Amino acid sequence: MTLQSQAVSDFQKATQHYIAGLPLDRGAWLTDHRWSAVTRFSDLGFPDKRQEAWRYTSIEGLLKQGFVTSDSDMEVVGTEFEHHFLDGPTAGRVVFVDGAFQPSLSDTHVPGVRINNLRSAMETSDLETLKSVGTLSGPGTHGFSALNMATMRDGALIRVSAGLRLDAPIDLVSISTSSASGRAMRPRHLIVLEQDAEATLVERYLSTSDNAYFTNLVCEVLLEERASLVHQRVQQESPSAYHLADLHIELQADASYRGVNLAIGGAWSRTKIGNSFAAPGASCELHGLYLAGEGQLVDFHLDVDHGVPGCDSRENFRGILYGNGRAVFDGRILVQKQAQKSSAHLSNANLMLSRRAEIDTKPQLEILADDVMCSHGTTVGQIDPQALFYLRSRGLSEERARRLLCLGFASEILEQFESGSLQDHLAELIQQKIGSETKGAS
Amino acid sequence: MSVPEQQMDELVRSEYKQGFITPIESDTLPPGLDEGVIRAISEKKGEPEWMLEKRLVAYRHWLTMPEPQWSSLHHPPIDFQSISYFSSPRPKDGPKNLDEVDPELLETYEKLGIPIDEQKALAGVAVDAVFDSVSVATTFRKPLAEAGVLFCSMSEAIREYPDLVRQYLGKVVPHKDNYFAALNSAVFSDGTFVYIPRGVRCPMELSTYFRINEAKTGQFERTLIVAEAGSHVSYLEGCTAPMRDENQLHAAVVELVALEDARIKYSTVQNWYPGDAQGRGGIYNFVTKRGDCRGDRSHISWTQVETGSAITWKYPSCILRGKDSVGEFYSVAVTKGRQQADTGTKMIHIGENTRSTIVSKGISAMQGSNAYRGLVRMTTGAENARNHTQCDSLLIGDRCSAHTYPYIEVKNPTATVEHEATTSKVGEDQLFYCRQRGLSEEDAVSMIINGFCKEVFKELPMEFAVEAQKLLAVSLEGAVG
Repeated sequence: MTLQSQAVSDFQKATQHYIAGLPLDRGAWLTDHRWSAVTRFSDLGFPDKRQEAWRYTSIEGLLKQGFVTSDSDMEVVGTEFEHHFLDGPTAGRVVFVDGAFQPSLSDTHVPGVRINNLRSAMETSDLETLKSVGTLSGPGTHGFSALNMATMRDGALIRVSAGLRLDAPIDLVSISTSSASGRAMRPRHLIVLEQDAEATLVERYLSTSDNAYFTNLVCEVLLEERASLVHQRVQQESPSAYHLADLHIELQADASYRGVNLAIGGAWSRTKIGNSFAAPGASCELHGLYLAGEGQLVDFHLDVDHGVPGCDSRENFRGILYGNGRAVFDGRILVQKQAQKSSAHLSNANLMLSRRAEIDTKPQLEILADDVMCSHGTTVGQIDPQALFYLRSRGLSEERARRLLCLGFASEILEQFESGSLQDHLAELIQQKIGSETKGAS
Repeated sequence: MSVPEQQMDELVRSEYKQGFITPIESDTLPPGLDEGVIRAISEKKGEPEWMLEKRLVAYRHWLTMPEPQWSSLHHPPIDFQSISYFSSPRPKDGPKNLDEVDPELLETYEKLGIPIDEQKALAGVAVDAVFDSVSVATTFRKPLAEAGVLFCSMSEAIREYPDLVRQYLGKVVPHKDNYFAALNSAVFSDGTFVYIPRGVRCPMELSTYFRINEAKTGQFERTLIVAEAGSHVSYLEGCTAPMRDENQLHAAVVELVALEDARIKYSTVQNWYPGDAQGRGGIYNFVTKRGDCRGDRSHISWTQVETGSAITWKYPSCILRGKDSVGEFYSVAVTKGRQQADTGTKMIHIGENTRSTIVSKGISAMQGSNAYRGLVRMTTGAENARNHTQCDSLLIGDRCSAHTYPYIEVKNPTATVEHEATTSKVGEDQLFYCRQRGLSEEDAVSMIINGFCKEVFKELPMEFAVEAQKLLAVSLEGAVG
């Protein structure tokens, strides 16, 4: 039996065992959803390199780790994690530790915002909230997302009321500790902004250990008419961690979404952002910055689907590669037949600092309508020797000059993190990460 | 821009200008494919044992391969058993000169506008005209022979220069490469062989006109061009085909080998029958073209203008092995009616300081579908390698489509890769500007499209550049303005 088919059958057994072990009072209809996701998983299996979307990303290492589907009931009290919270005022905080919601660390009392977590919604059979779960993601587009659906345990459920404008960001933070080691966590978030609502959500994945664990995340974002969301995401998992994120974003008429994604941690990470327009007039911006260093693989997939006329999308992703880091970028823009007056522009720039690094980038345009403005651009290059020379001639050390140029390259994306302190913190983090690499002349 | 339905209809109904059939008896094998057919082809061509062996190895491998499904093309399954794999105009013992050539055949060329006799004197182009599967006329052999250039049909080359053929054939495109290359390696009927000796600059532009004539016959051309150190050759390939109701399969393989400081320029104008308005008929064109820049400072340049065929599946590629070698790809692909094109290139950078340029212009009109699919790979040894890619798509009408699928793989930090692509329709502002300067809408659109393709056309040899512009104008007649 191959590793793949062995893993599929192992996961099938483990998943069935997991569902059978769940208390019965948690809503029978949800159990049906879980079983149909198991069937879905059996049909799909795990993705392999023969599938176009996975041709550059092997999951062999992930399967070999043999992560176990299990839950933590740990409830944290005290101030141990406080320094991970966002500085400054926030409009609510949702904290997960090792996949479990932490009521005493969270702040869910924000007028006009309903903040709940998946587990308590299931325990109280809050069907009103639960019925929206999975409407955007379906039972799963690949084996992992089907497994998330089958075994989902906890996650944030956030609903911002119509017309409400939040001045401060909502802080959604997931922290993994050493007790997450060897475990597969399956968070599932659902964010809904009702009509005319405006909010900023900061979603972060942090770790307090260097252990290996697996985050198998599905996040659904629904923006109703004229709603506007700024979604700032930071993936800063442990250096041995595996992180798989599936984002499903749906925009209704005149809604606007601005996402910025920073991927800096993890041994292996893959983020897929699927964006669809449900009605004309919506606009979507996706920004991203990825750093892939020694032993890291970072993979970003964008799937922007223009299914209705008159929507705008902009994608801008940048990557810095060093050590033997590998990055994969796949940016697909689909403009369907009826989607006239669409505008879609994608850009992907990569900076290679080391001889052993590798980048595989694949922007795609699929255009079926004629009255459109679409473009994509991709570059792969190194630090400009002239810029370096200029900085050296102004008295900067080689190391500082290189670091400055890298930071300059990253700043276009970093600026999208509006909060000054978060931006500074991330810039500092990036400098630390690439600091050692920029010492030598690659 | 609105597209007047009436004009469009006229174009759709207008007959394919090169659509006529020359009634010539031909020596054709019955449809079907098995080892017996391959043995028969080999025997008819009087091939040596090693060639038959090569064919059989390829055939056996082909049987184990699945048909590729990854492209964006849609077509009914091809029944490989319903195709006749060999067709040759009246078997004679090889005509020595034009007088011996069937006059009806010559007339066909006249209709196509290829007056072989006049071309000798006027165009300075040596033509190895391929009528169906066997080369029937080869001109300008003498002046070429004086320069030491070998320019002959593949069958002849196998008989007369077996060592050269054995040394190079199947080395750039091995039979295991892909499904259609394997098929071609098994059943190829004929093609062109060009050998330019060391330091020779080929005294004239070489050209082959392909023409599919026999009903239900696939054409499986095999072309091999070897340019020895310091040599230089420009090769022109042009195609037209008569009107047919059934889909005709064409699976050619072209191999180029450029040694040190050698330079090969390969230009194609492809205008095979694209099928009727309902998508019936038309050529299925599955081509494998690859150039090996084996020597340092070698240079291979592909230029193509693709206006015909129901289906085009073609990725002329360069393997940039030699230091400082250069690969180029310039392409204009036009799809209209129900034509589908999935075309692009691969640039594999292996050597130091290798450079490549890709310019691809896709024009989709009516229900045409056009895809650019390309790969740029910088391997670890590709020190200071450089690539620039520009892919632009122009959409005319709201039922067509344009896709861009570039793959970029970089493993060397000193390599620089740039890729840009745009998709849009003819700009209203450009059109408005031209109109207010007194141009008719049709002229304005034609001018804008010609401008759009200019970067590629300027790479074509003179004769082709003129032909290509005409072809484009005819192809898009009525579809624009």
